[in-house]
Amino acid sequence: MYAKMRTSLISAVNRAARRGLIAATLALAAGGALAEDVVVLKDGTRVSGTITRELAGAVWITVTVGGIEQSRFIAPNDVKEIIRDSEAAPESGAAGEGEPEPRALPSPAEDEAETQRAFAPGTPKGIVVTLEGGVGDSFTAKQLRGLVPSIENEIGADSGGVLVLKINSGGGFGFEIGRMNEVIAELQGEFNVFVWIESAISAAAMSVHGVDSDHMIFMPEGNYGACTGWSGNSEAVEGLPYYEMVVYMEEVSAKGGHDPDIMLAMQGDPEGETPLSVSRDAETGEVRWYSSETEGEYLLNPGGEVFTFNSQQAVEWGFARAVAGEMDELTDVITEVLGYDEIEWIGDELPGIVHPVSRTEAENRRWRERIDEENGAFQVAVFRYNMAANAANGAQDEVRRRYVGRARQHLGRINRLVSENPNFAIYLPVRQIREYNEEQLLFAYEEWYRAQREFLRDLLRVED
Amino acid sequence: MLRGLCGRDRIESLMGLGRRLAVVAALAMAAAPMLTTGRAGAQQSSSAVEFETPVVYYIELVGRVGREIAAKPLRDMLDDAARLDADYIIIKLDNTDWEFTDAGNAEFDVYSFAEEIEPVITTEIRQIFEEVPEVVFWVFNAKGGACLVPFTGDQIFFHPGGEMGGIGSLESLLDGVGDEVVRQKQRSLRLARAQGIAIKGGYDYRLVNALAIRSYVLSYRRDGGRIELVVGYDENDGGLTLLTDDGNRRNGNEDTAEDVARGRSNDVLMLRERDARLLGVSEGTAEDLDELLTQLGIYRNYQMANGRSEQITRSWRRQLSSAERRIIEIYRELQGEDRGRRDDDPRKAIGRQIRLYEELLGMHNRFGDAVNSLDVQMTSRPDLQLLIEQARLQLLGIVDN
Repeated sequence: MYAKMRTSLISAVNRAARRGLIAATLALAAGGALAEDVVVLKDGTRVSGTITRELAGAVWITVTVGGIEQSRFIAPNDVKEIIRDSEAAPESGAAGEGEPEPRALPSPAEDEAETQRAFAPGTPKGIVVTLEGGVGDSFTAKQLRGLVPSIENEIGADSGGVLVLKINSGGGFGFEIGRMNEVIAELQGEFNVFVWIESAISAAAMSVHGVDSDHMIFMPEGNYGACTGWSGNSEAVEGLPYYEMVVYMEEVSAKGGHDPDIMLAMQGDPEGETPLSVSRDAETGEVRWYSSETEGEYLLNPGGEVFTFNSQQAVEWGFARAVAGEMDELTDVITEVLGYDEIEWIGDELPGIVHPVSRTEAENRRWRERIDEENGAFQVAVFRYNMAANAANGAQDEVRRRYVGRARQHLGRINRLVSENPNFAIYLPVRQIREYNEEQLLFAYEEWYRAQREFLRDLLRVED
Repeated sequence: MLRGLCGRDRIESLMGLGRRLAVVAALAMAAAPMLTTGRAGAQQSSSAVEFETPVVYYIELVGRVGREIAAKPLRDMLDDAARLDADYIIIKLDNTDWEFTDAGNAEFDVYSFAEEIEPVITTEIRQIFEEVPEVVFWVFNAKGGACLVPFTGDQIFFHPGGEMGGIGSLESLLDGVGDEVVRQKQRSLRLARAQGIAIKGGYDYRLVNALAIRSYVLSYRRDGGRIELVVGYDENDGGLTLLTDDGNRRNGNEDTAEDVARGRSNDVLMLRERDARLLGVSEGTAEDLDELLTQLGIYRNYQMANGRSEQITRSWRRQLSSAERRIIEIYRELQGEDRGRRDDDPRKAIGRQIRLYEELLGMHNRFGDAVNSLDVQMTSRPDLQLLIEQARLQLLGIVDN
């Protein structure tokens, strides 16, 4: 169980603290100078004692005041310098001084050994992988599929491993929904896949809707729904594309064992109403859904509105298995579903993160940070390119040449970023394409890119 | 049950407190506590806590939401509280930006301010405290943008005149923008997020519906010592007490201006101390800090942390004011660049412009969303980036004769 792992870590910290106490006692008995670590704070304060643990720049130090030992926590932002003098080694293998990143990378060998000692051989392993940000941007099937070898490496590929996909996304591009459902189906063949919902709005909910209720767990603050497709100035997707998505989501609902009326109420209807009510059979407990305001005993969505589950509704009406806010609660739910005694969660506990961060997840987070940065850089590059190209169009002679040079610089940057993440091309005024697969999108992008290069070349030619 | 559905584990916290109190009791036997304030059991803590007794860190979040009441100074105060090993963080919440708009309701989107504060109080706090303290909100005014903020803490107490509400405009959110079904989507997801804040805090999400939706009818029934919320209202059911009606003018249910002014409006929920207590939102009512400490059960033995929350607040206000002054200066300088100094070296003039735009961008980085609450209109970040790029192109366009 997760609780065991925590206990083992805590006792390790306590052991280290005791080691510090013993060292201090011996030093006092010998009358010698006490070997101490010193943490220099940014305000100049020096805290002397024995460092018992370090993690991601945070320091736990045992200090002795008036003969009473106290453990003190120092936040990373407060630490200016660490002067090491104590023989007691910090418990975590974090780098300590001059750590380049606020969050330490997981998987120091000692922690792994510590974790392994708490579990019987053959205990199933589990891992949490987060899917966050814009669907199609930093929440993509390609990225998730790319993590599979690393996941296999950490939890095995024998169908016994537990893969929790923690979802926190306000939605994104509709074209990614099909890809996400495909990759999750693939993962279900290899791992016990659970989704843990912090926020799954619109395309994010539709991406994981093929997961059945037993494998669907909500965080207390969790929400799921509001799946109305739109574009431009809040204009609803309607007509054939709307009905195509409705039909596709009926198939996905069937796969997940969810009543299709639920997703329909989440999608809404630009030309009609999508009410949702529900009843529970008093004897069998069976839940029945109705696309009507009055047939079910409880009205969840009045006809003219769009539905979003909160965590209490999702669990009360059997859409999700349970609410879990912490890892021990999550572990309880999953062990119950799978009939396991315990799960060995892979990864390190990091401050402010509710789940252990494995090597796979650390890599995933790094990738996402880079994509988010690049996304911002891409928008800026497009915006600068347009300004320079327009300026070039209105200028002459030497000034035009300078502007064209500037526009080419920005176009080159756009091209580099699209080659790294083809989905960025969707932000460009590329030709409308029917199927948003990567190949077609890249093809449309290449057309646009060629046209821009020709436009810039022509500007110089006109001048010549 | 109204409470305890998903709340944090308070038993563990109380056990921890019990241990600390035991230490205090033992110390009290040996020596009478030194009284350095007028409070009965208060000991003023110095820069570090010297022995284990509940340490109270007091914060006043007073002013305008997003300006004086903002995530950044709150973070600094929590850092300070962590330095002093606080066991309780008491936050007096009194937002003054409340205005009577739309029959007493602010734009619903202001609820999202609680989403800025919530991670500071529930997640970041775990990073800075070794032992997470109890966060207690003391509600004077929690209205509009501050309405859901108290749900993010561990306990809520009300001042006798306290009020919490003023976000009852969800149904008119984005009126006139785009297609109706898309507006409904936007309202739905926002409501679910707002409900999530309450659920995470251990409160019934139907209270959020009543706070946010004018047409939502909510009543309650007493069942022994317990209150049961009921969606809807049946006049023939004598056991039901109406909390909010449907606000429908045709049914004669719309609040009048007099209803609002007299504090008897019920189109949407405005929680006052009596109802808040009855509905399990408030743990109790406290006129002053001593009464609050008594209700928390720590009045006889606690240390009031000698924290820097007041200085942090003052410093934050000073920074905002000085930023406002500087922004006005920058705009004046920019106007000067536009009008007058064209006879200078144009490269230098444009270079100055770029530096001023960059300084404004720096203000965005420094104050985050708080720049939107400044008393001077601030150019948005994307517009500043546009202006900088324009200026750079101007530089490129200068040809030496």
